[in-house]
Amino acid sequence: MMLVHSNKKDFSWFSGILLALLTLFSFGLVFLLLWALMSAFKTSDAFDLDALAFPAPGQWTFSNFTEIWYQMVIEVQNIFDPNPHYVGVDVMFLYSLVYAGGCAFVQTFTTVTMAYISARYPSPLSKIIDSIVLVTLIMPVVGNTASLLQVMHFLHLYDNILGAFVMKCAFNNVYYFIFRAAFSRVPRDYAESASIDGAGHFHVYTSIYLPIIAPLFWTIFLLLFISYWNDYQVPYLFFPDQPTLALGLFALANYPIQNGGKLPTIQIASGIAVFIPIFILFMAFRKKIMSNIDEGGVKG
Amino acid sequence: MEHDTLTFNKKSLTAKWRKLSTKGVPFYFAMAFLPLLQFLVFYIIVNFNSVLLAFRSLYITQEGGLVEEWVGWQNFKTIFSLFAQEKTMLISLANSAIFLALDLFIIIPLGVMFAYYIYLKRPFAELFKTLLFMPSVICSMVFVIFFKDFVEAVVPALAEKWFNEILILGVFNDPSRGLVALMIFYVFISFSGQILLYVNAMSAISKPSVEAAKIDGASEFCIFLHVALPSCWGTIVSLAVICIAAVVTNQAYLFSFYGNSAPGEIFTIGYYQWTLLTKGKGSENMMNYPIASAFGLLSTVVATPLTFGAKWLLHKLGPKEE
Repeated sequence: MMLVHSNKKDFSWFSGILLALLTLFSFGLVFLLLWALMSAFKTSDAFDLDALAFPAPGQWTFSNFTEIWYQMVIEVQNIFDPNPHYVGVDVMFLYSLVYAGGCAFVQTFTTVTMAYISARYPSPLSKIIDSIVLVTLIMPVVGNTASLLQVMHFLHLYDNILGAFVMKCAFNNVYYFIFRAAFSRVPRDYAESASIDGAGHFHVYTSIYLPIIAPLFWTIFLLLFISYWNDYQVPYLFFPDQPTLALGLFALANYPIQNGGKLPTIQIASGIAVFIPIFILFMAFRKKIMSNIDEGGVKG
Repeated sequence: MEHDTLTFNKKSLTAKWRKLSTKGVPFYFAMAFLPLLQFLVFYIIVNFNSVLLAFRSLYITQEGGLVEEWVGWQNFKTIFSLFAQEKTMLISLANSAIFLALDLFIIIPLGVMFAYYIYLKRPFAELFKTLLFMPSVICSMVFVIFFKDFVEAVVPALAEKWFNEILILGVFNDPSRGLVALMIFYVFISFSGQILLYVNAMSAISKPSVEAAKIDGASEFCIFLHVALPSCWGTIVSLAVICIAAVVTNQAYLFSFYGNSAPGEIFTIGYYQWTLLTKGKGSENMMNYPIASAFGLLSTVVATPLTFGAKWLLHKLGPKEE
């Protein structure tokens, strides 16, 4: 219930200061993005000459984008072959899709399933599951990454993108309570009618309850997808030989030019190339994403 | 007779199974089994192993194998001696405190005020909302590249043009300038995760209390302090507590900007811990696991009381809706 639709009369010094600060922030953000867009189409010489100046007619180029294909390459090891291999943008894109799509799906599905059985089948185990999620969310356990790496090595899941799926299919996250609340709101009559018609428990879950909360499911999937798509630290640490696009960007940004590092214009063009698909996705689902985010997560 | 008993038992078992199936017990356990197993391995065992690892040492044998050895408190002694001897560690602590202060005294207060502006639907509120939220959707590496290249290309040129000063090291290779640039970036990018949470918390503000405050002649700032702030205090406390708990793990984008080679003067404790895991390859890197685990255990010991204490204090001292 948005209550205040202010008019000019209400506009105080407080709002004035906030408007100034927000304008400053927005100007900074938009300026940086436009500057990057402009620099991505600038020749390297023009960039070195004056990085702020708008390029003259002869200083425009598209080659920074074509260069990404050749320059955004990561050397990896293959267990079947001791010789180094090189992974390019196309393969990185596929790894990104697999990692982001796979992890987002397994995590959302695991969470929704646990929330469903906990909400629909009250039992001592359901209470334990609720407590597990609550305690793990409250307890600030930090710095167990070394142990996690050791366990991944032990399970032969290290340096395997599928290992990331196993690692991420956890239900102890904030979305559990959101799904649980959503299931609690669904009347039990649907399930009872289906049961009378002979539907089994699995059928009731997949054909009745899941479709009812499908919009919430896909909103959370989308949020997780974006977050995994942008993540480069987990790929860096847990499966370095299957680099994603975000990891490719990290590598491109962190090698000095004298050690084979890339020119700023190519780095910026790579940034733009990674930025645009997610920006389009964001703008397409902006209202869905932004209006669904509630305190602690997402509302149905 | 025996045959009859067996038949009876079989029938009884079938009846029990049917009863359990009707109640959904097999479905329940089939669905819960794998997630619970995952929790057992990746939470219970990982954390238990983390504690054990903190008291162990890993070394490479002459044959190239990796061997674990129980070393008691040795890893913790090493960490304390690092703090006593290495200046970098104390600097890391100070820098972590700086970034926590940025979170608590700049990012959270400004975030709440920006959310209030959006909640009031002041001019361009929707545009600001989208722009503030955008950094949480776009890969942070994209912003890191844009910001780094902008600062490195533009700032030295402007410094030379306006102040006649030549920045030989550039900005990010000069620790003091690099830290300032990092702080600006940190503030710039950190609003995104919070704004919508505050706006949604504010949507619960009761209209009559705002109207009553207006009739009593309360200024907009006054309404913000006494009505809007209490309404989202719970959210503020939650986010402040997250920042406090993360003080020991916050890398402050150092890894994104520098990889493993940030200057020691701008280290944070979180970055130091992270580089223990990212430096070196294979067995060489795995030898750092015990010390990283000991660091993690110490961090948890520090973070837990700090987190709960801060939560209690913030709830106690927080504003009450008037």
